[in-house]
Amino acid sequence: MDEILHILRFKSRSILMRSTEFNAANVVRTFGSIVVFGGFAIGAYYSSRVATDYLLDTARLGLFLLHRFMAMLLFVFFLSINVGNIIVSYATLYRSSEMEYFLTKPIPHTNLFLIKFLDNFFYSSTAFFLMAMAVLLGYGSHFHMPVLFYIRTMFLTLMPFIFLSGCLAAIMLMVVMRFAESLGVRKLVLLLVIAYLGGLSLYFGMTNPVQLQAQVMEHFPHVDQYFGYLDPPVAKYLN
Amino acid sequence: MALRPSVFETDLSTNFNTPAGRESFSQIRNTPLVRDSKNIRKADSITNVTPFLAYLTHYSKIYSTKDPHLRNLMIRLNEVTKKFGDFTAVNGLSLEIKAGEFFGFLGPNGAGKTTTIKMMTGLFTPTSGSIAINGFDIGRNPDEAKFSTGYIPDQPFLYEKLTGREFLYFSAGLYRMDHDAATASIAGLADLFEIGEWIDRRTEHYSQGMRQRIVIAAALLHNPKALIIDEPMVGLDPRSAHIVKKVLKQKSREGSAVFMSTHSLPVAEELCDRIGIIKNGVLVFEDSLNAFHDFKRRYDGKFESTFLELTK
Repeated sequence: MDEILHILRFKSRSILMRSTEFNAANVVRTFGSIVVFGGFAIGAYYSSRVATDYLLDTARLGLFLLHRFMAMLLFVFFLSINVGNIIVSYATLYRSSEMEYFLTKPIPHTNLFLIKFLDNFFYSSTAFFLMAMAVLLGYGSHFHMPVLFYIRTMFLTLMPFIFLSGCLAAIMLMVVMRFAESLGVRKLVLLLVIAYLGGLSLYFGMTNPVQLQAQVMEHFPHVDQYFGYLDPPVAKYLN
Repeated sequence: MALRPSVFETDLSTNFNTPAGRESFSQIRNTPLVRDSKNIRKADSITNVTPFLAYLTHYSKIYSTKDPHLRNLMIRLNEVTKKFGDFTAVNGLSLEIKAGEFFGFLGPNGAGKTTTIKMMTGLFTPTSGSIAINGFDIGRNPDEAKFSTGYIPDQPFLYEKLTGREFLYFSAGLYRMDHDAATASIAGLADLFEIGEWIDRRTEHYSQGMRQRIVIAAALLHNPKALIIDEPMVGLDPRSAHIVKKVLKQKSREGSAVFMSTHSLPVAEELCDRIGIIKNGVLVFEDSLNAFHDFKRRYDGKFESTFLELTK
């Protein structure tokens, strides 16, 4: 553990020095980041809030279908984080001079993996996390949720969600690299793309809310309000 | 007994380049290596006891043997082959480098020099054959082998925003050196490499020569028994080149085995006790420098033309 802390300490010191250095380039970069990320976050917040208001109050979609819709969005979100992590992991694990440096030092590979995983997780998931929090704020503001709701969701739902996606990405990348030599990288990447698109299409096919709504509303025109009541409170965290 | 503060707790703002630091440097340099002393216990408590047991077993084997050759053997490559698909980069390479020996590894571009070095440092796994550093197999006991190795790559890696001193403390921590040992070692190496003036400046402002000197100092911090160097003179000004050559030769005289890959024939001629020439992954010449001098007399007596003839 001391070893991991030692490396993280110096790495964070290096990153901190870079981000806190006062020069024109840094000021422009920081300002640009704030504008871009802040703009996206505000946009995501308002979009989420307006969409929730519209779907629940105007379209009277009902909580069940809304959560089904959100589950689909989160699935896409999960895959995006996953793919993002695979790409960043590849760059930080297999194409990095820092990694080459570490590999020549007596550092157990498990520690090395943990350090690079955190590194990769930090770089690839921060923006996603920011967007997810903005969407959550928009969703929660419709229901006037207390602050505790956001804190709980952030630590118990969003962070494990992103972490799981990152873990899966690391595993998939290692599988790819393991078989890359025998099967060829192109074939493997192609297989991976087909698997992702297939998974996405299968999931959308199975959970298509439009189809579900059409079938249900045809037979039970007022059923949506009951579904809203039947949906267990925990479902909103699981979705 | 209270533990000495570790390098993990180093106050990086302190200037350790003091007379007291330099005084203790010589004492520290004469103490056994990190892996030979009580530091090993601390080191292994960080991870687990297995490397410690492997280390004990290894040394009991080495010291119980009557063969002084094995005792002195620091680098051993046994029938090492590396293939990338159908391409054989290194083919059945066998080499033995003893303590205190300076070995020059020469060859044209793409001959397999860097691949060999990457296998020796654990970056590549050999397709077949084995590599041992200080008796530790790099595949089976990578941590122990790496503790005995100081590796200097051709493209130095540094954290741009850290100072040279911070980077040296960082490197010392990776070898689990005590804070005091690291401080003394850094002070001594700062003198040796003449880096004291700019060691507290950020590495992003360093020239190629300054970067290379910091990287070499970082590789020597833990007083390794085997030094593996890839093109150490690339981009160095005469002053830096002179210092680097002087230090490497000194390390060799102190008992470290030095394995140096280079394109520079004069450097090889100046520093090496023995040279090996690799071509298309196969060792085409391997003998002492004197033997090479005898060999080159068959041609026009010039190092360069003999090398060109051998690698034609």
